Amino acid sequence: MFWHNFKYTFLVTLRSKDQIFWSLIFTVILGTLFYATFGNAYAFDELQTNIPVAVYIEDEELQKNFSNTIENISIVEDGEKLLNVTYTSSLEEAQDMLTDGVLGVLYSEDGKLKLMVNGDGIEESILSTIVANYHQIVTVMTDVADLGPDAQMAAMEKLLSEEVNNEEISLGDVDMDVYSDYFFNLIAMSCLFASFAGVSFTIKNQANLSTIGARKNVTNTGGLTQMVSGLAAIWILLSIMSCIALCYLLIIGVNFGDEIPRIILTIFVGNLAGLTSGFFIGSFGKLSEGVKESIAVAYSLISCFLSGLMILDMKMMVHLYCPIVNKINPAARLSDALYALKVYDNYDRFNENIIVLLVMTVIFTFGGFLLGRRKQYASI
Amino acid sequence: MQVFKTFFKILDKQKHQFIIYISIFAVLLGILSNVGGDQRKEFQGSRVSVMVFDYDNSEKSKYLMEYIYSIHDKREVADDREEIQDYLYYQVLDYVVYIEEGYSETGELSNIKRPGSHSGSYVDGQIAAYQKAFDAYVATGHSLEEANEKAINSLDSEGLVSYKGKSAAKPKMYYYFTYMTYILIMLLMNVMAPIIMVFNRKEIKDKNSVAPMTTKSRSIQLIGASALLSIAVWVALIIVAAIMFKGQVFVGTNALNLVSSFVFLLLTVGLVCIISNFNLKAPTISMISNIIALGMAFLGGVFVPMEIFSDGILKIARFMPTYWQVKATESLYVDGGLDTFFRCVGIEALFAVAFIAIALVVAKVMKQRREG
Repeated sequence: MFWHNFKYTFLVTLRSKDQIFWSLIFTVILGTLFYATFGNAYAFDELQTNIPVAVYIEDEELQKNFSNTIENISIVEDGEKLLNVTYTSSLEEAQDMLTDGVLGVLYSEDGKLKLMVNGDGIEESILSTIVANYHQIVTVMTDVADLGPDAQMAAMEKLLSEEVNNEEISLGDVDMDVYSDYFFNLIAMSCLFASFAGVSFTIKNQANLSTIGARKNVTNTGGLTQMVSGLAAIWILLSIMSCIALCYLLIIGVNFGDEIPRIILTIFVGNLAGLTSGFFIGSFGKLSEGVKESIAVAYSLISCFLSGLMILDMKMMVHLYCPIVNKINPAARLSDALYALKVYDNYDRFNENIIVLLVMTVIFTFGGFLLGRRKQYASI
Repeated sequence: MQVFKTFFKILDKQKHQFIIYISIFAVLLGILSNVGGDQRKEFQGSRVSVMVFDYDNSEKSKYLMEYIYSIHDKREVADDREEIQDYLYYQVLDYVVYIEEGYSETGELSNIKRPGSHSGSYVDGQIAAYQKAFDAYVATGHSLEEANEKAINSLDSEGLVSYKGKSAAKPKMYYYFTYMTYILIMLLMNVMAPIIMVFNRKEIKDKNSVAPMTTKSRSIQLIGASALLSIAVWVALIIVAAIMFKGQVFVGTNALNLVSSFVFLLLTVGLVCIISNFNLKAPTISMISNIIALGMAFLGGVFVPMEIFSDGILKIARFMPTYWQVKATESLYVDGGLDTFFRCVGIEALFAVAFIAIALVVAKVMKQRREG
């Protein structure tokens, strides 16, 4: 009877448009959307060259000095210039360019080099550092002017020194593209949406909540066999759906790392945790199907929200201010398992996440069975 | 008033779901808005998150540490490579400085940052500039204390940098009124659409058509009830905003957010009307609402800044009503002005008109199909 139930629950779930939608179609649509939106997002944080600036310097001496400084500013790689300078004939002209793609206006006022910006991002901050450095040289040289030529030479030597004593410690060959986390959370969401199937399946086994439940309750097959076979069928089907979604994401170019077998293991464990959580919610009390479904939606949506599906640094904020939530949030555990596989050389953290998810599964399963076992329906 | 009353009777039957939805979304909205920062008036340069490990513990190293913490935010993290890597990955930490033992003699530092990042090279430059100035003053006979003071003074760019427009930092209210678009779509689609659909069901429609009530009266009552419910949802979200921002939502330009969010409410109602014409089940509505709401939120620049969009995506984003709501709110706090604000709200209003027109056309087509 186990395999009979298994087969027919598998077929019924396969023909259920809702479940296929949430586990596969929705993940594929959202994944495509994420990929289109964040395709070049990480490059946004990478050091860029040719920051567009407009320059209008009235003071002739300042213009001569600063033009030389600008010419000298270049980044090491390929000898490309840091700034893309446009000289203008008036301050107004330069200011107008600010709304037209130029990030800063360098101009002179009271013999000082000044900067006008339209924002306070990193590029603007780099421009302000250039102004500050120029101002620094002038200030230091003015300060030491009275100390004689030797002091001036010594100060200038230090200021123009190219020696850098700040060595970068390499993190190794680690992909620091934080936007991958959106895709980890997407897979976590696909797994947790299995909770909808868990709720629906449990309700279809409760005689007081569905007619099919009433029919199932009068058969001679034991409740445990019905539940286990049904849940196993749904689990395997939804895990396959999530794996198809994963294949799609890999094909369009999302980088999940090289640990594909372990990623698939994560998907199977995640779907099991999601499904059993739905089984637990479905078994809880005499609430109507609509309310139980709403609770499952709330549970999966809040879990995914807290693990960063909508706001990227949410999981880290939770880690900083309320770390216990990340430890018990299944979505955070799932996305962390995928993150650990991509970033770390060892499997300690991955294993910890998988074990916690399995413990959650055991708790949900026992909870569901305890709430649903030996129910008698005197009148329905 | 039978239709009007029935509308709210159906709502009453679904009150548990309605309460769950509105509670979740109110909490989400509260958390989402608090992720945003406060607006700054002066240019401060980007403050990134840094951690300094001082293994030299000398006077010189302390001065450097104090300087770094004065221009950036300290992010406590243990000297553990795995934890540092996690923090850097999630961008809650941008730079780690190790002041090596013997720094006062050798000047040697080391750092960890995201490879090739903007923020990393920015802090590199600042530390180098401070060290050069400090060394220059020490080389010209100044004490360490004087050198530190003068070095900091020489790097002070106060008054050298000015804003042309407003500060680029967005206030919490900006986030509230942009995230509200996602919440409005999700709430109204999941709560209002199923009720309207009940009236659009074939058997109910057929029964109503033989009732002693004109179609006009029935439609007016249904529109009235839908308007009341959607306005009630909007008012509830505005009350949450009024409490969160201590009444500031009604003051000055902030009050314009009420105008833009109300126009967005209208276009959301239009969207709900389109969906309601189809005979869909509750789970299908949930699917459609999730795709529409999340799609519009991501493509419209609600959840992610538009600066990261490629040119192609930016062109698509213009077709999202959320894009214009984000632009309208941005014009109040960051860039633009009242002209831009009203232009964006005008485009939102056009979306509302278009959606309502589409809803009417779809309703007519569906009716013809039923009768045909």
